Amino acid sequence: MRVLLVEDSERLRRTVSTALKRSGYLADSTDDGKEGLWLAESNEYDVIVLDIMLPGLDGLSMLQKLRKQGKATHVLLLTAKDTVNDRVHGLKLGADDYLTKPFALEELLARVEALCRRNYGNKQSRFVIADLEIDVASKEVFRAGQTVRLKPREYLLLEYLARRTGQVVSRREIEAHIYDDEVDPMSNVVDSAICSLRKKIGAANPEPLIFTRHGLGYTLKADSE
Amino acid sequence: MRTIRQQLTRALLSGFALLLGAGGAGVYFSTRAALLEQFDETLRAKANAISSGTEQHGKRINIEISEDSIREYDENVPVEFFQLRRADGATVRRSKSLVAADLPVRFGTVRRPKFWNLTLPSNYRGRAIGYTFSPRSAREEEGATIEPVELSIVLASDRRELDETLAVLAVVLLGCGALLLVVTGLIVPRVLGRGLAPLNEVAEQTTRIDADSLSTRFSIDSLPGELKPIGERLNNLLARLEQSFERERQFSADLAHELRTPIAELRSLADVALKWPESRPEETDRDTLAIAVQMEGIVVRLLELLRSERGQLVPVRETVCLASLVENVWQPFAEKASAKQLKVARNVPDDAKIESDPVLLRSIITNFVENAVEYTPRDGTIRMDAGMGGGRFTFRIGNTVERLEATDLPKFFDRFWRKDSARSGSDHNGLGLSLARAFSKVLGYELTATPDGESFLLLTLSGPVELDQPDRDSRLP
Repeated sequence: MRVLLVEDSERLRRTVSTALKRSGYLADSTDDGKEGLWLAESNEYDVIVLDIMLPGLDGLSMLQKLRKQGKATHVLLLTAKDTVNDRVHGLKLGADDYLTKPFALEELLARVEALCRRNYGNKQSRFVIADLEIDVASKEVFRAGQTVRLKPREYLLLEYLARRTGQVVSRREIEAHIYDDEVDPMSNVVDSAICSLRKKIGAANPEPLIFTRHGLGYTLKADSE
Repeated sequence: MRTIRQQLTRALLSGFALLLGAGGAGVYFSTRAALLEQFDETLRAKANAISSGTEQHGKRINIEISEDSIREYDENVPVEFFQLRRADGATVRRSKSLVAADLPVRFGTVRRPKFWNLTLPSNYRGRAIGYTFSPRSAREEEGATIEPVELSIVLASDRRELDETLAVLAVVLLGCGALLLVVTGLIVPRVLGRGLAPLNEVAEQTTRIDADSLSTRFSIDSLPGELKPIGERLNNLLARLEQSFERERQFSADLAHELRTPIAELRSLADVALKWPESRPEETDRDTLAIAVQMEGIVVRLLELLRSERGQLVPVRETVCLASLVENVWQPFAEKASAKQLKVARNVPDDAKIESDPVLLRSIITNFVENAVEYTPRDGTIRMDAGMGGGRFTFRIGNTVERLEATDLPKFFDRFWRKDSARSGSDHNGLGLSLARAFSKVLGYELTATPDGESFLLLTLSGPVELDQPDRDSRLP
């Protein structure tokens, strides 16, 4: 899952960014509204955590511009403004959630995760595909009752595919949501990760769950579906 | 509870009852006196009729009166009596109504007869007249001389009718008085209620005022003249209270708002350190200290601001050399200005000396210089100059600014206002110019912000060379 954090407080940006990364998100951050808008326009984020009072371009104006462009990325407003009017105004402008400072980090992470789930029309925190089980809260994966040990990036890839179970997910989408911008478009990093993931979840049961749709991408589903 | 309305009602009713009683008594007693006088005149006329009809014939006395002219009988009860006596007390004649009884012997003269009340032989109350007289002599007419005799007459009459009339009068007066008192008792409270209605409205409106409704004002125009000064004073008091409450509320809201971000920083630092202790960043402690210093700065400045607004700052009077002060203030910022390659021009005369509070004045100029160095863009200009004249001084500091808009100027001295809405981009907390303005007010100076061209901002501080004695009352909240 890829998250954009736009926050002008350098310390807050640093700690929240660290927390997001440690929680398995790909996190980009900036302290400037204009740069935030450019990043949001140029990348596919699952969630944008947005401060309101920003240099360059304030958070609400940035949100308005995004919505006018048809960007439906879920936005969580993170601000010191705590009156009912402020909240209503922010939500009416198109924000999906509102969190006032100071906040508990756990709450912020839970809200970001909830927005990520909503992003794919899937509100589950546990996915079951055939005998594969993914616990989003504990980030644990089981196949045929046995624990599958995955690297963080592999887990993110699996969760992303699980959230879009049955859908064909293109390489570009995987790169946009799971990998940094530094990934070379010509590299086979996605194919390698898929290959590794297949091996690990196939160890307990060789029945394939990740299928390749040539020229289109990958899909995670039970064979019988 | 004693109310003005009750007290006025009681006083008015008591006064009216007293007046009514005195008036009634006056009417009663004057009428009684008139009736008695009339009664006595009737008695005198009847007695005169008897005495003038009495003739002396030698030693014999003849009385020529018609008994019918005297009301001896009222139905079966005799009402009038008379008795003629000689000087020795021998009865010459008595009315038939007396039968054998005698009337008391009291008499005056014909000119000044004696009147008195008595109990009649019929046992009713009566009134009598008595006087002595000399009867007309029958021989006198013929020219003969005879020795005159002296007679006394006592005539009494039943006064029941008079007493009944007086009793009716008393009852009528008492009845009317009581009725008037009742009617007055009903009317007075209503009239007073209507008259005191504005006072009641003021009282009710006052009881409804609490900390949440300090914007309430009394409508002075609708108040009667006596209450106008009270209404005006109450309105002034409410305005000051509202201002004071609003200032406290704003202070709390500003403080809470400004502390939210540093507290959030502090909390997220702690959360990350506790959740992932193995990856605790090295700068965590430095960040924690920096956040604490930032919060301390906000609180200290806000408290200074509040103290100055409350009039708790009393300026000290000392001679201050503006050139030295500006030099001292500038030194700590010189390095930063040089790093930003700012062009600095200072033109403060060495002899520019004023009487002021050195601490407050230094704080004002420090805020100016700090803002100028912070917000002047790279390669920009800072200009400082001072002038004296007409018993006043002027200190100006101008600097190059970016994106200066006319709408920014009125907000320059607002607490926590910054050109950029972001609050954590620098260490500035948006309190410097508010504090400078508050301190200027304490010193009796004027502080203005004006544009000088499109990209130059000028802050001007001016005031008397000699510090006025502070008017503490004017600075009270």
